[in-house]
Amino acid sequence: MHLSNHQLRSYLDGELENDHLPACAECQSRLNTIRLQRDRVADSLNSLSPTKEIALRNALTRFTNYQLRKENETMLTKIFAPKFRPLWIGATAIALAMIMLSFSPAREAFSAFLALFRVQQVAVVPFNPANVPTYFNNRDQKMDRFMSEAAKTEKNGEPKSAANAAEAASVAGFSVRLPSAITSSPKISIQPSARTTAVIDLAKINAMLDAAAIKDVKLPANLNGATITIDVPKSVTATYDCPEPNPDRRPSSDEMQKCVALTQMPSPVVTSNPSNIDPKPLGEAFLRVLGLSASEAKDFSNRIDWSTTLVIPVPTTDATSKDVTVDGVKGTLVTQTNRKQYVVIWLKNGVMYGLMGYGDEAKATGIANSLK
Amino acid sequence: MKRMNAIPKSVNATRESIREAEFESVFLEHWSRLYGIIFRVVGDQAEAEDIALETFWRLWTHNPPQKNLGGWLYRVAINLGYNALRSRQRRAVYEEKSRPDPDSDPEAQIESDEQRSRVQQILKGMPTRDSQLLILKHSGLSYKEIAETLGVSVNSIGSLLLRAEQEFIKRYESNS
Repeated sequence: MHLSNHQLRSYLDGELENDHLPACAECQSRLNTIRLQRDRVADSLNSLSPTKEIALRNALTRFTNYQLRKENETMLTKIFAPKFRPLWIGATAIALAMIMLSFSPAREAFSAFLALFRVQQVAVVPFNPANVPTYFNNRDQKMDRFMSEAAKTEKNGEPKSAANAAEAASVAGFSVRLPSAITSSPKISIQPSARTTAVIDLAKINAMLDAAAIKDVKLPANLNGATITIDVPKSVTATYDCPEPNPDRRPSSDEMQKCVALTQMPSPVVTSNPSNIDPKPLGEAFLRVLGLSASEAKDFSNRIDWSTTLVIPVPTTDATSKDVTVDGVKGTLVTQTNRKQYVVIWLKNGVMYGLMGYGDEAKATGIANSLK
Repeated sequence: MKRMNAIPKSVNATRESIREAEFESVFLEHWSRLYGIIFRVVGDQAEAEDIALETFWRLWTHNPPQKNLGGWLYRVAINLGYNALRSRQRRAVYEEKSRPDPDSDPEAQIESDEQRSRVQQILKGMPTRDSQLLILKHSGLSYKEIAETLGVSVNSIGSLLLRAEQEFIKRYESNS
C-alpha cells in the first residue's frame, strides 16, 4: 500500500520505518519531491543558525551570574528577610492602598474619576516580628493565592545592560547618577517598568483582619471595589566590586565586603478609581498587621503625611534605623545588626535611591554623598 | 522541645547540592539546542543569550515536573523568544541588531543579513505554530520533543511539518 505524503515526510526524518517504499517507484518519486522541499526549507532556515556559540562551561558561569543578579534584583526588598514575605503578602492587600494615600481635592479637577500622586518621602516603621499576628507569620500558600488574585502585575519588557550612566539614562528615561567615591567600574542593569493593579475586596480584607484578631479596625465602605493602579518606572541598578560568580561555590562574606549596589528610579505613580479614598484608616490597618498596638499605630499615623509618604517596615530584631542627611536631603539608614550590612534610602528631585553595602554609617553616607 | 519537622542544616545542604547537580546536568544537556532555537527566533546573540538564561532561571525557580522536562524548557524558550520578537517596535530594530562579523566579507555579510531578514519575515507572517514547528525541527529536535514542546500528538508532526514547509516555500516564492 502506498504511503501518504505525511508518512513520507516522517520517513524522511527517520521517524517511520517501511518496507514498501524501496520497491515502489511512485512513492520514491513523491519522496524525492518532498525531500527537495525539505532541503529547500532547511537551506533557507540555515541562514538563521547561530554563527557563534559560547562554550558550555562559560554558559554555566553566565547563568550563575544571571542567577545572582536576579536574586539581588529588587535591591530595596533586601531589607526584608524572606521569612517576612507572608507578612508582606498579607499586608499588601492593605498596603496597596497604604501607599496609595489620599488625593488633594484640587487634583480632582484633572479627572472626575482618577487621582494622581507621586511618592515624595520615605518613612521607616520599625516593628517587632514577635508581635506580628500569627495569622500573618505563617508560611501559607493561601496568602500567595489571595495576593495573586488581589493584585496583578505586568512587566514591560526584560532587563537590559548598559555600559555607563549615559547609556543607562538613555534606556531608562531619566538622569542616572553614580557615586564618584567608588573608583572601580560599575556593572549597570536596567529593570523594566511594571504596573500593578488591584481591586479592593473589603470583605476579604475584613475577614483577614478578623482572622488575625484585629477587631478594632473599621475600614470605610467606599473602599470596596476601588481600583488601585501603581506604575513603577524603569529602575537602574549599578553594582561595584561584587564578586564574580563561581559555579563551584558561593562567594564568602569576606568577598562580599567590598560589594556595593545602588538602585535608582523615579517615584512610583499611583492612581485610583474613585479618587475620594481616605488612606489613613488603611494605613493604620497596615500598621496593625505589622503588630503595632492601636495606640502605636495611631501615633505613627499622625506623624506622617499619608498623601506623600512611602512607608517601609523594618524588623527590629534584625535591623536598626535612623534618619541621616545624605545627598543634601533627609534619608533613612537601616543597618542589619549581625552582618554590618547597610541600606540607605532617600528621595531627591523625584527620584528614589537605595544604596546597599557593608560597613558603617560614615562609609554609607560618604558613598551616598558622592553621587554625580 | 525540638520540632518534629526540624531538618538538620547538613541535610538541607546536601539536598541543595543534589538539586544544583541535577540542574547543572539539565543545563549542560539542553543549553546548546535551546540557545540555537532562541537565536533562530530573535536573530541576535546577546538577546538570545539573555532569553536562554531567563529560561533556565525559570527552570531553577519553578521546579517543573520531571516528566517532559525538555518539552517544558523548549516551550518556555520559544515563547519567550516570540514575546521578545513581538515587543520590538519596528522591524528595523531587528535589522539594526544584526551585527556584522568584523572578520567576514562585507558583501557576503550583507547578503547573509538580507537572507536572514527575509526568512524571519516569512516566519513572522506564518501561523505561530507552523513557524515554531519549522524552527524546532531545524534546531535538531526529534518528533517526540517537538510534540512535547508544542503540545500536539507525535503522530501529527509529519503532517504538520509537510504543510508548514509547503506554506514556507509558497511564501518564499511570492516574496521574491
